[in-house]
Amino acid sequence: MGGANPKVDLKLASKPFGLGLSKACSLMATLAAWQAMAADPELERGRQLYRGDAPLSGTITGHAQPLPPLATRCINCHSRDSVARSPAVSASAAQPFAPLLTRERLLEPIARRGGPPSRYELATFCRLLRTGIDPAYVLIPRQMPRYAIDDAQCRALWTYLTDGGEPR
Amino acid sequence: MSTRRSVLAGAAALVAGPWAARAHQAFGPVQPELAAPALPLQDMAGKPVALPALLAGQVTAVQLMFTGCSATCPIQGAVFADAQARLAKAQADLRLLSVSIDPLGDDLAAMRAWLAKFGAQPGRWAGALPRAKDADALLDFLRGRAPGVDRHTAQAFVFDRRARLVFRTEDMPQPAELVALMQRIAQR
Repeated sequence: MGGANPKVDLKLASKPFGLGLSKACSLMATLAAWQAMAADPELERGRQLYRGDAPLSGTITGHAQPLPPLATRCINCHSRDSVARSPAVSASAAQPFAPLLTRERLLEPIARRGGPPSRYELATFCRLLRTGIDPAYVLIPRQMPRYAIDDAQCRALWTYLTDGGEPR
Repeated sequence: MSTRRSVLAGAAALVAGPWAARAHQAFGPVQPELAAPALPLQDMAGKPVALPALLAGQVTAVQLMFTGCSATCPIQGAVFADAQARLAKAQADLRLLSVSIDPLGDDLAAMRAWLAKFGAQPGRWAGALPRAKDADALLDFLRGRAPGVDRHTAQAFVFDRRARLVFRTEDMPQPAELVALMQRIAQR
């Protein structure tokens, strides 16, 4: 009977436009994030800073000269991509080089680097970027540059990470 | 220990000769000096060359890296780029060498592109690829292994003109101090 194959109909129903449900949801979330950024220039500015599309000046502690922008991008370390490119690969078990900067990771009380539970707010986030001191007054590793970031840049980055967020 | 103090301590130990304590620390002077193992590498012209031959006759700072590494390797590239600039007027036999630890993921084209991204000048700063089966031996010899996705430390490993490992710097050495260290070793 023409068009009465229930298997085909089920597949079509569960994969609109040829996408699985999870991929479709992810795409919709990404589109929503882009719409939000288009409506909020600060979110877009934060996204550019996070991804390195706008340069951030950063210096390794003890060094005299700042690093070039390609070495100061947040996404260099705070990304799952660093795992995918690693030759270490048991990639499924490996952790990113540095914590993923999710809204939850920043805002929820978490014990970080052996310190007591702490959460970030704008002021402590900016202090960490500039000095390397986290909310619990623990020093972060030297591999992370200390940034010469102004208040507006820092607020944009914070807004992006807590209100926009990197599609993951 | 700060970078300055560690380098000064290393320099002091370098001139202390046989009276210095013999030890192989994670960083600092290597005593006794270690001859580079005869591992075959591929240079950036695609030619096979043994590691000792690549190092002999010049003072070389070696770093481990791979082109897909986005975390520490861009910083390492920046450190060598800064060191290269500081070496602009220095003698020609002070060299920089970036060696991939990912010979399965890296090839000549990727290495050349990575070096070009940091402005490597062929006469001063070269690259090399080990065979896949030799990458672990290289990591072990240098003590350049590190936990995590990058697998390697961000140290520089300095060899003298006799292709002997004589100094392991701390991670991400200050470029000016790395250059000063190389110049001191060149004067020995």
